[in-house]
Amino acid sequence: MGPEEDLPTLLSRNDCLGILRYIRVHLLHEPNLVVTHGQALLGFANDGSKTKPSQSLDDATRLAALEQLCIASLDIGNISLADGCLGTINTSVSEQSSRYRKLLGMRLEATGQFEDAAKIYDDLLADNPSNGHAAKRKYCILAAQNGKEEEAMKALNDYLTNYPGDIATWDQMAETCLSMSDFTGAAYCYEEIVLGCPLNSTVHMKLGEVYSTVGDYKLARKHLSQAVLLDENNLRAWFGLLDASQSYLEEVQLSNAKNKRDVDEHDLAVAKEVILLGGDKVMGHYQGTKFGKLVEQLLLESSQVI
Amino acid sequence: MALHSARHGFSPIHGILIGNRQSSSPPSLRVTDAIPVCHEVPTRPVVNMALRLVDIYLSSDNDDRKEDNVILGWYTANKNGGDMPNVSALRIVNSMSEQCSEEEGEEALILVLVSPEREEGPLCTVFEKGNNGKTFTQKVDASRIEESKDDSQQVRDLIVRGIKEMSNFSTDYGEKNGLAIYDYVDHMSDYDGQSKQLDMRNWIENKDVADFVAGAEAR
Repeated sequence: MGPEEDLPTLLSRNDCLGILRYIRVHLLHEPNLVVTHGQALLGFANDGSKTKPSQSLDDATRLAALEQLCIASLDIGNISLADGCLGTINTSVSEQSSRYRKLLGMRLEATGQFEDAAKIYDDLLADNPSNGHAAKRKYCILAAQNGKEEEAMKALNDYLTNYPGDIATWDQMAETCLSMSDFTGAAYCYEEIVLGCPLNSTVHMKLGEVYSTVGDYKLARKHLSQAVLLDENNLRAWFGLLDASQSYLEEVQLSNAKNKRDVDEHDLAVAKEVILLGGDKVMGHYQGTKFGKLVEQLLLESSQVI
Repeated sequence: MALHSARHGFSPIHGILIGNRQSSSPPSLRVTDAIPVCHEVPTRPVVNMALRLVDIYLSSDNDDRKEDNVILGWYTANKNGGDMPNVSALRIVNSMSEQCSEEEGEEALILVLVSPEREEGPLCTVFEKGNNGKTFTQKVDASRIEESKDDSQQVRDLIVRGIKEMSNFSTDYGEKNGLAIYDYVDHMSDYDGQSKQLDMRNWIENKDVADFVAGAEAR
């Protein structure tokens, strides 16, 4: 595999080892691809029985590929294949290996044996309290079950107390908060992620959308504007910006009718300009497409609030 | 709806139900289509924009139709299964209902929970606003539901064929190899500035899925 080759190129050459490496290095979630090419590379049938591998590999490469294939098999629910991988791994590593035991735990999770899986992770944490993988799997056990959202949040909280810089876990916490409609909590999580990834357009977009959902249109506009500054093709952020600005203006009109609040005139002017600018930008992308007329009508309705 | 769920098997899914209101006695709703919106917990801007775009689409599309299609409700599938709709879907359909009451007087809406993981029994559970008028947690009795397909096994077989067709598809591979289904979030994700991508990811019509279902039914 050359350093510049992308996934479509590797797929066209059927470079099984290259495909597995690419997916691992780029942290892609493609279990079907891993299973198809991992089986061919390592010589496994669908039921986990051995067939002829496509090439011989050194021990380190083979074990890494086996671990990857095992996890992908569990992902797609092929337990027999996962058991085949575990059996092969066990011939080369000790049963006390923490990586092997983590895979065993994941195999138990995949078949719903959550208590047995939790016991393995508790043992791993007893051996090494800073085993982040085991702590995360304990959260995953709770996240996989209905009605355990609060316990899952507590598990994430415990993990983040020890690993406050783990951006991926803050993202997971944000998703858990969103699933419970705790938008304030989700905003807190995304603020932490923004600290770690200030130049990520998607994170600013998500934070802006959450603020819009709780009704804080000023902060929503701030982060959605940042999102489009970082990536002018972030259409979702453009639409979010239009929606937040329109919602703000409608709220002001409603409160004006009830003589309820003093309004920042500069803020109003900015919101109106954003609707016009955002409309131009969005229409620039949709002009000439099948959606052109729909978007044009949408923008016309939005501008009526100005 | 099942294909939308299968495409994003690790996430909750949400979408819009459209159809028409029959002035029969008693009045009834006829669901004719489902439009996928997102495969995550929806936020206000996503829901607002999707509903507005679908509303505008229906207004323009209805010119050619005998019966006017309108938005009839919302559909969802839970991340972890279960018999009741998730909190997000309840929140959205309640909000839609409040808006309907304000703008057009009381119009019935429904919430459909899709459960493709079920091996037997109905794949969809329909919910309506409870008698207390508060939230959409009241199941609609099966006797009040008429399905266009009597054979649920045939529907399941169609879904399995659709999932097999879908499994070859991924936008990461640079080329479409299988059946594609797009939602509103997919439509805008990873936009590369090339407008043709927007037409290709037609989340409102999803022509490939419509052709697949029509082709499978014709056999």
